Amino acid sequence: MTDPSPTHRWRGVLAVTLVAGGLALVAKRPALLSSAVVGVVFVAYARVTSPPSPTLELDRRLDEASPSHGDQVDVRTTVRNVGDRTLFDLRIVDGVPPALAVVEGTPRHGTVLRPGEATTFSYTVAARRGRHRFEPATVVARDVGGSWEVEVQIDDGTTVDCTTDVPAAPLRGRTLEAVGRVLADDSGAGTEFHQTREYRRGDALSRVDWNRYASTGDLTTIEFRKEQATRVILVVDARPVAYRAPEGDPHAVSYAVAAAGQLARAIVDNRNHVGLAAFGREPCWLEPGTGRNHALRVQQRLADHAAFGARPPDDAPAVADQAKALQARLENGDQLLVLSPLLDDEVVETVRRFEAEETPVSVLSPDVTDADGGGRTLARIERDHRHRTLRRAGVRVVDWDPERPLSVAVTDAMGAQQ
Amino acid sequence: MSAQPVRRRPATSSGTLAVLVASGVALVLGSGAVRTGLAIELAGLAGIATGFTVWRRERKRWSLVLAGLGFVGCLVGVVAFLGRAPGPSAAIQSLPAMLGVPVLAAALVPVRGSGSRTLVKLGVGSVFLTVLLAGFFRSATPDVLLGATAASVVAWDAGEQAIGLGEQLGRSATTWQLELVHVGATGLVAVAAVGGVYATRTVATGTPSFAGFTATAVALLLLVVALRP
Repeated sequence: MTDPSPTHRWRGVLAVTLVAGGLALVAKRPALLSSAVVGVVFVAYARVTSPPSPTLELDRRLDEASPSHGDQVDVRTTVRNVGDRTLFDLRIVDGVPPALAVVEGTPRHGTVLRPGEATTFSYTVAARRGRHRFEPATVVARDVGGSWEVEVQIDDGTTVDCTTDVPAAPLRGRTLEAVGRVLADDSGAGTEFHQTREYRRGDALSRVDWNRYASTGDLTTIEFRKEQATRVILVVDARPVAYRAPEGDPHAVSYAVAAAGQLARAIVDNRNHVGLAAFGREPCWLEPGTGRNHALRVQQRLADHAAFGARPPDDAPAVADQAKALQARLENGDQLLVLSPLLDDEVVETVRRFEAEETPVSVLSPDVTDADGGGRTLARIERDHRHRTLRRAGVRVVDWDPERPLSVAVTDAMGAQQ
Repeated sequence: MSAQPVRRRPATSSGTLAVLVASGVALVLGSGAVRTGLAIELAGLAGIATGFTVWRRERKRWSLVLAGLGFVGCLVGVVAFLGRAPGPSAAIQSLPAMLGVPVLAAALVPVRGSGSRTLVKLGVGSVFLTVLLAGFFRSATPDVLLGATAASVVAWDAGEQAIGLGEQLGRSATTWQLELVHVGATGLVAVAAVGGVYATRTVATGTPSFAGFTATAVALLLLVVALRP
């Protein structure tokens, strides 16, 4: 709660009183003196009211907490006065997630609340792909005369989850492309069949193909593919340039953050390790790990780290420095999955430098360019050009139109390259 | 389906109330022909306001007709008043109110933007100038002056509240309860102030001496400065 601040809105009445009183005195008009008395009463009224101290509770209900992309979600927000004084002038602005547009009704409401009383208002937002956390509702409370103003933020942490599970992340095998898992190409112990070869002394008896021995008399050994967990670092491009978006749509960072959360889950589901980094206003680094709990940690970091803030930063440190810091943290065999709308050449240059230093990079690029409008068309042509540049450098690029589910884009892209 | 921008226009109920109260003050203080002129002007203003409302509902031709008629009405009102005023003092006295009400209306029914506090002050200030002039020319009884002063403050308060609500919540938000309580409280204070002064004047008999009057006035002014909000 902020400190009560005076609004000084009754100052005009002071002037009125002085003028009326002055004129009454100068022109000897007793009638005008009574007018001045009226002014004095209003000035006193502004003085005697005390600033409100609102104690409020917020309850936000969604008719569908996990909607599909484009669905309309009804939001019902209830604010209850749990204090013991009447709040005469409450102005509530609900904290709609910046990426979601209100399509019906208004998230703003003004009312009077007696102690224990609650008010409910509802509006409709259009769901967009991603996990969207509601921001705290802002409430401005004034006293009855409006001479004091207090601002409070109340939150209940509602989230709209508009994501679908992704079967796999678009990763690069070291030597072999495989849907789902990144597999090592050497044979050895494992669970997946790789090949059979002639028995050699010392091979484990359990791995001898006894069926074959029974039918042909040859001793052969079954080899399984050796599984090797890969460490994948998700790198979200959250530089100011990535916050661009077509009018009224979410920006690329909100899509990238949502996609990163889904990919983290897919990567750990496929028994690989996932870490998190960002190019943005603040350095962000989450050591790679595996397991569902680690995926949740990644999602948590995406939701509350300053680098992924919903509003664009004013400026950010040079991307080259951030890339250098990231490079220093990488271990041999790590790969990067960069989530970037590819709206400038700097990020392309950075990716190519990683690739040149033998760190395999894949790029998932949400398309936020718009087909209409000359400037936008130019942006689209440039972006296509960047795609080609990256592909020529051996980088796997997945072009993702956020209107379509991420899983479809990833599956398509992996199908095309196999 | 597209995102709806917040329409940051002054709240309708408080805004309308402010204009109505200010018009009431102007009408009460006007006399004879002036009152007729004011009435015509107010009808014209209502026509212009309706015209704008219709404009938003995409009935452009009707809105132009209405607004045009309203504008002509305003002009006729002012001209009729200027030509037939009973005397120069009546003309001087009512002129500020006659200009102030349209200014207030323009502040609260803005064609574009979120309304203007300066215009509200200017509009209500002009109406109050008429109250002061009426007191100066002794053309209104002290009781009428008392009521007109209180009403001017109520009109300003409602107008300012309408703009504040428009800025913070926009016109589509539900705010009538808040507006009702706020204006109700201001109205009560106004009634209490008028009642108090009226009662005091009824009890006190005879005209105050010059010294007594001056002392009261100075004391009052000092009180105001001390109370400075």
